[in-house]
Amino acid sequence: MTIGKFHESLMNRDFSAAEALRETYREIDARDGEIGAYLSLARDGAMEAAEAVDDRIAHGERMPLLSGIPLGIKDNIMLEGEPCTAGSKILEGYVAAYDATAIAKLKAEGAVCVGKTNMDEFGMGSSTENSAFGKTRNPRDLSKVPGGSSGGSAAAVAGNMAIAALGSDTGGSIRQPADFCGVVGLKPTYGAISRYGLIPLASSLDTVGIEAKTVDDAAIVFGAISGKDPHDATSVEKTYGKELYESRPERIRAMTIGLPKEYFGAGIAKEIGERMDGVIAAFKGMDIRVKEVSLPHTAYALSAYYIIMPAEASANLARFDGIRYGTGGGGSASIKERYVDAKSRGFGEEAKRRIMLGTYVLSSGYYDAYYAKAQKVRTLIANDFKAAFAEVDALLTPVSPTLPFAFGEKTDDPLAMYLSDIFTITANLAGIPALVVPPGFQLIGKPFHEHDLLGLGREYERAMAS
Amino acid sequence: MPIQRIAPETVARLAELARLGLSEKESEKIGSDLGEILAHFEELGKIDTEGIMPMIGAADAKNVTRSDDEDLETPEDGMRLGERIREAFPDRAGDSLKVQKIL
Repeated sequence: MTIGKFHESLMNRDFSAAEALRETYREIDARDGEIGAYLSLARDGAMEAAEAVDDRIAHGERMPLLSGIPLGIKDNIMLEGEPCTAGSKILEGYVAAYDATAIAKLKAEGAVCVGKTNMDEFGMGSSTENSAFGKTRNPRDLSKVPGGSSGGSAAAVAGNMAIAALGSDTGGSIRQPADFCGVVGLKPTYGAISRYGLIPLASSLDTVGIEAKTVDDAAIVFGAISGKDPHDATSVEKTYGKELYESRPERIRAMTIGLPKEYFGAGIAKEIGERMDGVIAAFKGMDIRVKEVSLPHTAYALSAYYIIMPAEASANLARFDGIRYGTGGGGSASIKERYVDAKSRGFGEEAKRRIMLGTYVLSSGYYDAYYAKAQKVRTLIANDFKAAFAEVDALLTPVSPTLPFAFGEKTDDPLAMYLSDIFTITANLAGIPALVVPPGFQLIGKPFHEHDLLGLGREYERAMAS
Repeated sequence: MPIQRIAPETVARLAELARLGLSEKESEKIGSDLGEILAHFEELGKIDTEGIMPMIGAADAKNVTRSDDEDLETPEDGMRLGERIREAFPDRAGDSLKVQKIL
């Protein structure tokens, strides 16, 4: 069910928000033992929110579109009074002290947060296998990973255990799971959605975003949670309006889509290449112009990303010192021993690897060779996009070079896992928006032009449905 | 690509800086993983970045300053938030955070 249909049925009193929520929990109780999308359920808070919506409807109020909509929330986004672990043992038992701004905005619309979804520890991974609390299976094929790091959010939506879900995207963490699970994923422009209440991974790359069943649904949630927030200095003064929801086919069909040749080279699985051929033909069939463009520094993006991200992550994760969060530590002889004890027991393998890598590239003597160099390469990558957007309105690329892989396939080889992100990290480095639409392609757009991507995605959905 | 390894003493120094206690097995695995990853980064040496400004963030953020007041809707919100934050402390004495002796 889509948000639009749900809203219509709710206002027609076909069902109540409480009934819809009970149905969602029945689905979760029946299926999630197998899938593992949720880490914790917010049954009481969700029921209270649903009943409040029903009360207002009973009083004849006109309700916002998101009222009563059951949503999954990635477990690195704070939902007051509920556990928030970010998939890490170091935060086991931690209860969020306040609502993230995105959550507060959703609650103000009457949305219902049903639970917290599984993820790679602190967002570090591309398969959700790095969660300290067990694996999530891909609802489309239980023998495969759901992608990551927002694997739980994508699986919840794909498995009909939420209508939409919040995720976060630092290097592809919304888009690659959307691709693997067959849902829509929106990574907004950096600064479009407040990061307040998002447990940070790499602050200059992190974005809050959306997993949804349709492009319209992604647009509705995005419209509700975007905007400047005094609590996040990097959030941007930009107000989106009806252009997000409007269908203006004549405007969309006048667009030119660029195909960056560096994204279509060797290294793409045959199935992905064939899928992209079909998608390109579909856009051409809609009379949208398609032309090849070049983003010449693409080959260096992975290295730049895997310097900047761990550097920022190592600084952000320093706060988990066993003093303000976590358990125990009172028995340590000294404060230093307490730090070491909490971190060594609390962080998983990938978190430790990235902390070590980040510490290395930031350490004296190496800073210029790695971190400073990577930041300059980041400028070149952002400039590549600027040049391409002088020629085209949006870029069309694959999301992941491979189909969903099996459990354990890449866990022993960090570089192979990092290569999963090769087509998605560039949008984070440049800070620009990107949208993934089933059967799994990515549209990358100009800063604050989410509406262009949503419009193109919507036209594609229509063309496929007709 | 030949597997390059980070020297064990470098791994030990990084772990010390990051306050991580690593087992021998973890140190060895991280030493070889880091070696392989750092070797991959060598490719960045091929790009000329002379005169290029570093991109330090994705948004043109301005520094935000505010007066050093409590930013809360009501005193009850403040009590609730304060208590929620204190509840997360692994170790506390009354309303204070309890840690080992520092000085």
